[in-house]
Amino acid sequence: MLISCLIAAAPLLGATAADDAFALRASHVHVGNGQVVLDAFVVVEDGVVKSVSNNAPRGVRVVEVDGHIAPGFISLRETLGAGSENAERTRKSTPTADLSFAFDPTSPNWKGLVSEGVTTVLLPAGNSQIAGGQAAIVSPAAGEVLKRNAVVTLGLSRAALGSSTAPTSFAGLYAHLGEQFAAAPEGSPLAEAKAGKVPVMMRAVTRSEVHRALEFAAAYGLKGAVIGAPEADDLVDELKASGLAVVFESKAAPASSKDVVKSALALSKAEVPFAFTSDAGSQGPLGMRMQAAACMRAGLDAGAALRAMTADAARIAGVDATHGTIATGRAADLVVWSGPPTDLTSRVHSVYAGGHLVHSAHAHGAHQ
Amino acid sequence: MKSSLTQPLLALGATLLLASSAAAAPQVDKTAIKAGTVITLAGEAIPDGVIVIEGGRVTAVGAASEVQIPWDATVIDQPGMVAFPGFVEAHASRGIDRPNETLDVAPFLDVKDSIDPVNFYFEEALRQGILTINVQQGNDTVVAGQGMVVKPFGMTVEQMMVRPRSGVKISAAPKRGKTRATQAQALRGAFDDLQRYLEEMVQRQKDGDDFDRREALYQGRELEGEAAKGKPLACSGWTVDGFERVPRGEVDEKREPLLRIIEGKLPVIMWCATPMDVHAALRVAEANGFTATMTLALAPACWKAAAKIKESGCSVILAGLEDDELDPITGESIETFVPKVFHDAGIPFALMSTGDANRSLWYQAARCVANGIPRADALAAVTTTPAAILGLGDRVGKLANGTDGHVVLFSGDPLDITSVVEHVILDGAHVYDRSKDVRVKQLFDGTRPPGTASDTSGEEEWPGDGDDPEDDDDTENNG
Amino acid sequence: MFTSLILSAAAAASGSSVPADGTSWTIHADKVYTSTGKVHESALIVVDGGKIRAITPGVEATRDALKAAVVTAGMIDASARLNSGTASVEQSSEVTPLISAEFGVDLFSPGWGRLARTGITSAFITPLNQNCIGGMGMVLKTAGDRSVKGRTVEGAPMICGAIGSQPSQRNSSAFGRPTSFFNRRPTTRMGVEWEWRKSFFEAAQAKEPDASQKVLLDALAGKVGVFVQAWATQDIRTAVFLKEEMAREGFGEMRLVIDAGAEAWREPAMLVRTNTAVILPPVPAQGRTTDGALMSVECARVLRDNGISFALSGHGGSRLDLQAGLAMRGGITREEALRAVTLTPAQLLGVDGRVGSVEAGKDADLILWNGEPFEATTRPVGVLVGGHLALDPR
Repeated sequence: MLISCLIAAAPLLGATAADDAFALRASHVHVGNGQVVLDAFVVVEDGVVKSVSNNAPRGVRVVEVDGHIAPGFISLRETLGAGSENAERTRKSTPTADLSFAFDPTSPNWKGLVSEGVTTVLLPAGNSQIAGGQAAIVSPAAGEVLKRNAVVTLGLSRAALGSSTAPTSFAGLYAHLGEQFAAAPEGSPLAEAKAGKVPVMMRAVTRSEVHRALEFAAAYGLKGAVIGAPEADDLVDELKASGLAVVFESKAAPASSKDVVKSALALSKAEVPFAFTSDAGSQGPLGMRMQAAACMRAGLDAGAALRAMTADAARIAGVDATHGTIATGRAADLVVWSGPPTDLTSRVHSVYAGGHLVHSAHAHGAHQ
Repeated sequence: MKSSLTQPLLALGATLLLASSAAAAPQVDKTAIKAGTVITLAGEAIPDGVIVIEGGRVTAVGAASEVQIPWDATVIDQPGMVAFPGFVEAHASRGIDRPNETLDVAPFLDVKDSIDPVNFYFEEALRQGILTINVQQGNDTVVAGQGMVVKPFGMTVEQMMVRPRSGVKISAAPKRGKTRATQAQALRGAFDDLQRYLEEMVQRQKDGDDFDRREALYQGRELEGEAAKGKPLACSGWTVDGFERVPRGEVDEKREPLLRIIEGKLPVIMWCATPMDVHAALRVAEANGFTATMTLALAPACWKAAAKIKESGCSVILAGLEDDELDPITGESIETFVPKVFHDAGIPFALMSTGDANRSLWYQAARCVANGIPRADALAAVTTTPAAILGLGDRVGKLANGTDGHVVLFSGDPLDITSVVEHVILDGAHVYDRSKDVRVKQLFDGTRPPGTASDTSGEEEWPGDGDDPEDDDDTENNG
Repeated sequence: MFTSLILSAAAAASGSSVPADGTSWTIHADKVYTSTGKVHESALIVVDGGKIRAITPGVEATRDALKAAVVTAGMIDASARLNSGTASVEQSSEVTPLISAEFGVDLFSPGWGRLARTGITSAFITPLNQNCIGGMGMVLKTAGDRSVKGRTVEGAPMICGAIGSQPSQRNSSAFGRPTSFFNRRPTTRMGVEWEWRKSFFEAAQAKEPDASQKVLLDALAGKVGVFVQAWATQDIRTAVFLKEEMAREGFGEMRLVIDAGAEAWREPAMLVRTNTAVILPPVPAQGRTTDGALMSVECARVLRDNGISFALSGHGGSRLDLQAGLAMRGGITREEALRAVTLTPAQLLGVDGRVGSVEAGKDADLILWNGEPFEATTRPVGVLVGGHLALDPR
């Protein structure tokens, strides 16, 4: 007997529902690492997943769900809710800036994102910054900052060059960045990045920009990812050797998403981790799943596509201990879909963040 | 009778070259040219050859041992040089005021009203050995007007004229401001209008209305002789019943060129910028019966329509040797040498010179050889083929009994990189001598003949006193 | 040495030239123009590991050999201008000697393939000439490795810059408060020259020269070459007079190369007395180049007649073989034109140890022609860069 989810949509902010334990039962639970558990119970307590199993839990309220459960998507670049707060216009280099201050949990823009299944977002600096600061991992669903100073963002594409501010050339940019790294005091973000303790996210778009970024990373022993790189398939060997991952932007410009599809397939074959982003592309929050669907149509398997939005994204951001998969001890960021999450015909039924129901689609009518 | 070899240098602003008197066509009675090699393009090259020109026409070409030189001929003896027929440019929109009128359909416009005899283009053409040029309107049009074949020498258009009303320039590529659809519509419309007009003329004849006769008289046209006769419409595309009732002279002068086009009496040069334009051009020509008298002027991308062009039997004029594309998938650059495509398809093709003085017709032909086209075919593309396209195949582009007395003397083989034009004989008159070419000299001593037209728009003109503008040789920087 | 030549010819003759890694070839040419003045007839060239191993004249072609009518060394474009545009020049200052051209190139650009296919195997790249002193240039192979380091041919260090109107073009005086660093001097030609002199003077007089000034001091001493773009006569004079002034002041003897010296033909005497070399730009279509300089095909001949060292350049857009042909049209011989695009630029750029001629031991940068080079009726039908086929003649 199906008990449909009749709980009224809880407010997105400051959920006041009690931290009681409950379990969701669904026909498919996508763990996020490729594994799918059938006819499973996901037990949630104190905002954290307590267990995933086929055994019915005792003493816990069970919510029967008509659909698939998957981890909330992690978008490694989303500036929609930040306005222009992530780009410091007067200086190109502000490596110690804490970008969590750019997060406005009350922004209405987050609703659309959450309703498409994105529960965690990396808030990076703008592309016009060379060393724009440290990105924060935030949960727009829960309205809180999950991790400050999570990733050092570096802008190494043409957008970071000034037209009437220094530097205007790539040589100037790398000279400047080299000085910053050399002069970085112990414990500062750049020093931590050099020591490999904090991951970097380097934005580079054309093949030569990516190539330069990889050489720079190798010279300073940086770990993390390159964001952009739509023609990554041309540089697979170099990427594999660098140990860096690739994050694809969902904005169509400058290269078409056809290139991204080719690149995703090539990276998947070479076992180089990659992730997709939402980043307010022309398709809005749906952009992430559209990108995944395009790759799947070209041959990427569903498991790899889902990983690129969940487990691998979490690992790139350095939060895989707490996010990205449905497993014991991880945060209860769960999305209930009407079908497989990578299937474009599937719709979001409800979204849980940290165990609280933060979104329910039934209020808008179950059939759309 | 003046000998052109002793004419003084004219310091006029325009012609920096030797010129004969400014009277009608500069002809010397008899001239004989002896050269180390004579390339006739009407047979094998002749070592130690002789060309005899009388009354402006070639009367004999052959080996020195076989040709009799008239005793009263002026002899030009250049044993170290190569004689060549002179290049033919089948289509050029240069040397005129502005290339196009704003009017869409203007077949009645004539380039003779726009040719500027002192334009630098003609001087340069002579220097490069291009002796027959079909000047037409530019490409930004629907139906642009009529062209004229000229030689690059003369102080007036009449002196330059070789053949007036040589053909009509039409464009299948959209005029600026038009889309492909509206361009096609305008082109169709021009001929539909003509058909309607001719039908109305017939109707008026039947009704006894003499409106057309009065209009013709008002336009100042004679209605005697041939003009008073009517003939059936001789168009292979469509017909107008009863048109033989209409005296030909009564056809409105604005539409009369279109009538001649559809009857195959006035050739057409149709410009195409893309392969799609070629299809549109062939459709219009087919519908209106002038495929046989049409030549296609093509931008490089049109090589893709070669098969269709072959079917039509049209000749082509190529405005560009190379087409470069980026493969959309691999991003690699695909380079096509366009004349080779047409050569291999067996389509007669002519080449066009560019605005670059270093890459004139000789260079275009030479590049064809570099890319695998046999020398004979490459040379034909700048001589006999354009001559045939212009209907002057018996007169220019080759040296044989009866052709015009045009000879170019090169310092070596015309396609050699180091060969230059040393002398030009036009209609038997010696009109160019490189050793006296002031503009060639001027590059090296800084003088500039006063009043010469500037060849570029540089605002770096030294204030015009003709002296070398360097000041005294002191060692301070003058900034 | 002789025996090794015979052995390698024998090995080649046995048809064992199927390339394993794509850098070993046997090439037979009816004529080999070595660029050193020597010409080999009916010669077999053995290429192995990206280097020319042996050249044996007077032998027949082997079965597997690549065949050509003529083989020459790959051409070196002494001013190829294939950089990333404004991203290659650091415009926040007008004098940036430390900026390297290596960050301002995009090796993935299709322009490189085009250069290689037209026979240009090495190119000298500089930052875009928007600064007075823009930085250090470098010689790069036009094909091969994907990293700048892998394509660099180490040569004589050169600082590059411009004298003329170009460096001052974007600058203007401020209306009220300055709004960008382009509100600065120089805004005129004399300002450009002033920047040059000022930089050299300050470097020479500094008590503790910084890194930039050390480079300028090396330039003054002639240890680092000075590669200056100067199209018009007035700008060439400025460059030459600058060198003479620095020498008079006792700062040292610069090694001066004029790039894009379109009007170098006007006053050859000053170039001769200062031992200045010239890189000629492509011949313009109708007589005038940038900065209104007047240039014709005969410029190369005038420089040759005066004994001035010169090389030709294509500026990335023009075919270098055409420029060589035009120079022949202007009166130099084919051999001289060949030197002007091979050995002379190699010597001027200090890379003649590796490239610039067809000699055993040098890089296998070769062009296979379908006839005499530089004629309008011939073209490169095969090109090797470091032994790799950039244009396949088969």
